[in-house]
Formats: sequence, structure tokens, C-alpha cells
Amino acid sequence: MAEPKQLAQWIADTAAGDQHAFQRLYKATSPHLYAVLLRILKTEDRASDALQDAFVKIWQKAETYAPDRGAPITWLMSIARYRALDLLRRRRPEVAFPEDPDMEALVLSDDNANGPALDNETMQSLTAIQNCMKTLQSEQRKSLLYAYYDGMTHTEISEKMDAPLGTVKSWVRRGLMRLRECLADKPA
Amino acid sequence: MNENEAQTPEMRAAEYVLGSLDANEHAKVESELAENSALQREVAYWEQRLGHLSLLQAPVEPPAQVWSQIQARTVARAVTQPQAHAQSQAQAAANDAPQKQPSSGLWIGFAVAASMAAFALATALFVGLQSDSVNPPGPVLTQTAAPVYASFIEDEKRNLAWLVTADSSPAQHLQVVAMGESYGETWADRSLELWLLAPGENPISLGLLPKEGVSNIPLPADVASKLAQAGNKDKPTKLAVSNEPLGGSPSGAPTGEVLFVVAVNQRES
Repeated sequence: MAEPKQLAQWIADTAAGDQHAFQRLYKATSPHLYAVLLRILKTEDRASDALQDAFVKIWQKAETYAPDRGAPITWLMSIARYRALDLLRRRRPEVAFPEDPDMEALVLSDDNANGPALDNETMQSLTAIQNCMKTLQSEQRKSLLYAYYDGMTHTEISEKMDAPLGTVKSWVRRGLMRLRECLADKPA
Repeated sequence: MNENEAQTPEMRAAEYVLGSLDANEHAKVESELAENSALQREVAYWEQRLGHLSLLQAPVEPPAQVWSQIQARTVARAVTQPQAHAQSQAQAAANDAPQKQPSSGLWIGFAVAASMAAFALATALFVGLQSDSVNPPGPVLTQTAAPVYASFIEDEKRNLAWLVTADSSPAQHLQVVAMGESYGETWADRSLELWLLAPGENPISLGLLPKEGVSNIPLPADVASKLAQAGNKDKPTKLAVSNEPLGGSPSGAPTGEVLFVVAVNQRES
């Protein structure tokens, strides 16, 4: 993936109406956004529609991107994820994908399919959150990852993990608080 | 767990970004976001922190047609209000099979719909680029007035698209804007050549389609007068694209596969 500076430049050029910059931005980042959408929405059709919606929004909102508030890729990712969550809350796919990778195992391992393609700055931010995730209790981590990667609500996580709703809410919140403490002295 | 703890802006923002809130709670945070700057900061913090986790997922190449659909939608949205209306009419008409047209006369037909779409696209593009303070690198659009002629050449599967326009009649030149991928990826050592098809005549070479960016093709007066026959209902002039050796047809006539034949739409005055 292109470096954050390059992505930020393409976003700025997109804001100025530059179709070529927009296309380059799409080329560089759409496979990452699409992977996220596919995991949450489960079907190619729904993920494609969401990707389309996300990039239309990126085109419209490009001038609101502020580099001091976060990396370009996390800004783009947020737009795509909110779109997916929105679609998910309206209609959840009935089928589970048995071949979905186990994200807890991925978080705990040091293998990353994107590793070699990521610049130092991005890698540092990823390592920070990944290392902090590793320090959580397993139930806390699992519930956070179900919410993050699969867009599951508290209720859905409680069914999935066969645990009372209150307990799941507590896992999620304690997990987030622990993450925040851990991240406090790490580069963003 | 203390319920108050759960209600802190920090936690609500974190859960909003995480995705664990149900539809109601999610909507509630969303509606508060616009006016609550503390909440905005928290959301930005978690978007930045958690957002990187997505990069643990292996990238997946999206289907090729997604990009052309995004392009069509982003260009259409840049259109000013009346043209946006024309565009949505054009799209609505294009979505309906021609035989399903209502008899009210609102939809004149597919050809008109396609022509309106091409003009809306052209207008959007030129208006959009005119208002730019920053020009994209490479050749610039010299044509900024509303086009008199417009054609849209598109291969959705390969994600190739060109908009061909002329802004006067008789036209002094054609402007060709590449809007899709570069065709160099599909045909690395070939050139795509644009032809004018006037009824009862041999194809006239107009030059090569650009791989990207814009190309301006000057039109001699005799070619321009043939283009002006585009509006002839019985024998309209059309455009064609053929696949040629690098640099174009060696013989002056199409030698390779004819990839596209498209109508030249003329603006109704």
C-alpha cells in the first residue's frame, strides 16, 4: 500500500476534483476496504455495493479529511466500516462463513499478509494496537474482535460466546479501558 | 459493572467505533456527534487506534465493475441541479427496457437517454474541472463550454471508458477524455484508433484514443461537416474504435478488431 503521505495527497487532490488522484486512491486502498466489507457483509454483492457507497462518500467528503486527526487509511476504513455496520443493522446475512479466518489467532500471531507492503509508520501503529490486544484477557479480546471484524452487537456476541449479556458488555468495556491504558504511551 | 461507567463519552465513542452498539445506540451517538466536540475527539482517537487492526486482513481485489459504477456516480453527483435531474431521468430510462416506456411521452427512448447521460457526464466533467483551483498533471482540458456533440465509449468489463465531445458546430476539434483504466494493461503493445463512420464512406481515422488523460483531435472542415450529420435520423454518422498495431493502422483503414461502434449524440437546440 502507498505511504500515508501519498494517500493524504491523493485525498487532498480528490477534494479538488482530480479524478486521476481519486482513481489512484481507489486502486491503492480498495482491496483493503473490500476485505473488511466482505468479512462484515459476507457476500460479494453486498460488499461491492458498500464499497461503491463508501467511495462515493470519500469523493464527497474528501475535503473534510484532516491529517492531524489520523492516518488516511484509518479515515478511509472508518467510512467503509460505518457503511457496512449501517447495512448490517438493517439486514444481517443468515449464513456464517466457515472459512473466515480466526482473527484472534491472527492478532496473536506475528504473521501479517500485508506486512511487507506496509510502511514503517503504519506498521508501528498496527504493532501498537496488536501488542495491546495481546495483553487482554481472552474473553475481552474475543468480544472486541467479534465486534470489530464481524460487526457483532453485544447481544450477538453474547449468543456467539454463550455468555450473559451483562458479562459481554463488561468484557467489551473493560477490554476497551485496558486498551486505552496500554495505548497511552504508544505511537498512534 | 457500574452503568455510569458505561455512559462515559469515552466508552460510548469507543463502542461506536468498535461496532458493538445496536442500531438505536449507534444512531444516538451519531446524532450527538455533530454538536459534541469531546465525543468527536474520542471517536477520532478510536478510529485511528482501532482502524489499523483492519490491516491484519488480507486484501481482496474488488470486482472490476465497482470502479466504473463509482465513477458514474461521482461524476453524476457533480452535476448541477437541472442536469442532475436530466441524469437521473437518463438513468431511470436506461434502467427500463425501451419497450417498457410509459406512453406519456416522458421517455423519448433509449438513444435520447444515452445522449442525455453523455451530456450530463460531459457537463459534469467540464464544470468540475473548471472550478478546480488545482489542475491535474498532464494535458489539460481546453474545452469548457457545454458540448454540442458527445459520445461515451465504455467497456464495463475491462473498466475502460472515454468521453468524446466537441463544443461547436461545425466542430474545430474533438476532445477525448480517458475515464477508466489505461488500456495499456489489456493491450500492452497495441493502439486503439478512433474512426468516424460517415454513411456510405470509408472510415476516416481521427487518431488514437489516449491511454489516460485528455487528447485534442483537430478536425479538418470536411471531416467536421460529416460529423454534423450525426443528427441525421436515417443515416447518422457514428464513431468506431479498432484495435491496431502500436501507433495506429498502417494502411489508413481499420485492420484489427472493431471494438466499439457508438452513436454521436447531438445536443437538441
